[in-house]
Amino acid sequence: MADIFSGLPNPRWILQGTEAERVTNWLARLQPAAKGQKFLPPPDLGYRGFLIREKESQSGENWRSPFRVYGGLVAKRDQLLIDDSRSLEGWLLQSAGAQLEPQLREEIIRQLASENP
Amino acid sequence: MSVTVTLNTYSGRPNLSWQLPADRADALLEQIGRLREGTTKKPLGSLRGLGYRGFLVERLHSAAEGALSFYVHEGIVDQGQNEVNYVDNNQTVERFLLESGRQLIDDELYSYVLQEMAIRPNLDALLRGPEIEAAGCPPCKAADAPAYNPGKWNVPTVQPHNNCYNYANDQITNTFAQPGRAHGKPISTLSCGGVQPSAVADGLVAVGGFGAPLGAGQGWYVALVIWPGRDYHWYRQDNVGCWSHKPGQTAARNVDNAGAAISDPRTCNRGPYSDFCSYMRTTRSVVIR
Repeated sequence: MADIFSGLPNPRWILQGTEAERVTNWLARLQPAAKGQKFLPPPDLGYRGFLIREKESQSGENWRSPFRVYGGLVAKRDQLLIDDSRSLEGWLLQSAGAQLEPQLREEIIRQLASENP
Repeated sequence: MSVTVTLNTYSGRPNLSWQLPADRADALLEQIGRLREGTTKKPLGSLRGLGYRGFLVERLHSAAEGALSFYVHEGIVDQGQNEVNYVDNNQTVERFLLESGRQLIDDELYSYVLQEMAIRPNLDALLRGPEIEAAGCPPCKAADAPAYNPGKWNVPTVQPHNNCYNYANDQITNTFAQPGRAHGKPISTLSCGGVQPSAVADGLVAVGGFGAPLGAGQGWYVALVIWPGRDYHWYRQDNVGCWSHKPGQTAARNVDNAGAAISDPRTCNRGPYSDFCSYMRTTRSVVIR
């Protein structure tokens, strides 16, 4: 899910197969943030990163609580992980495909390109 | 499947969280089952500010015993919107939860939580907010204006399912309400002209400002803004005079995009929501979905 709207529901899409596996492996390889590093909260309004929700099990239908990918960090439940160069965030943007309108996509690209989130 | 307990204390680092073994989970639920005194009160939770904010108890939907989610703080067991809240006399349940995580909780934190559990803050003062904030706010002329109470909205059973429109109208529907949906008048375009008529269909009325007095039954002031072509957003004026809002599925808050108090949504920092449409008036009789 791209966490971006206030009134309308956020754009959301499901990753399956190799894409889902890629994200899972990517997350598993991320390094923990330095002790004391804090997750810089996104702004109230506008682009606030991506929310990822994982299934509890491959065959099940239940989903875990979402966690946020934003500003070079992944706030995953009890862990803060480094998303170097916001690479995962950029890949998640790509994975949205047609779920994101071109102009919205451009807005997020502008955010990703900015030095500070 | 086991029950997860989370001790809500921290702001920057993750909160402590642990699993209750089956026998302790059973004992907890037995204690809850013995509570008899219902209440309409809700724990203060994050409204109390930083530091100890109670316990969250959860069990997943996939558990054979079924889903579970309730919040325990300040002698209240809050079971969410569709369940009765109970008075936790002598904070028995709260103490049980604290003891259940004793091995994880260091002595300093344990003592701190015990101290905090013994404090019962002044709810009225907290809802009013600090005097210095009220001094910078315009007068509120609406008798029905809601109090700023983020604790009502910023809980797991409510926050993700209610948006800015729910918040502005002070109605928890858990439908991520959309203007006009309750009356067959959906939004046509993401512009002032495309959203406002849908809100009017729900019963909101466009007004020129927020200075005219509104008596009991006449509602309170809200404001509609637009991110052109993308989205809409709503603010509402609280009884302290300043405004607050709830951006989508995020938490309700009383500051703008730059972290400043909101004395007027027309002039506050609204991020990409550049178009100010109008102030409007809403009431308790407005129906949204």
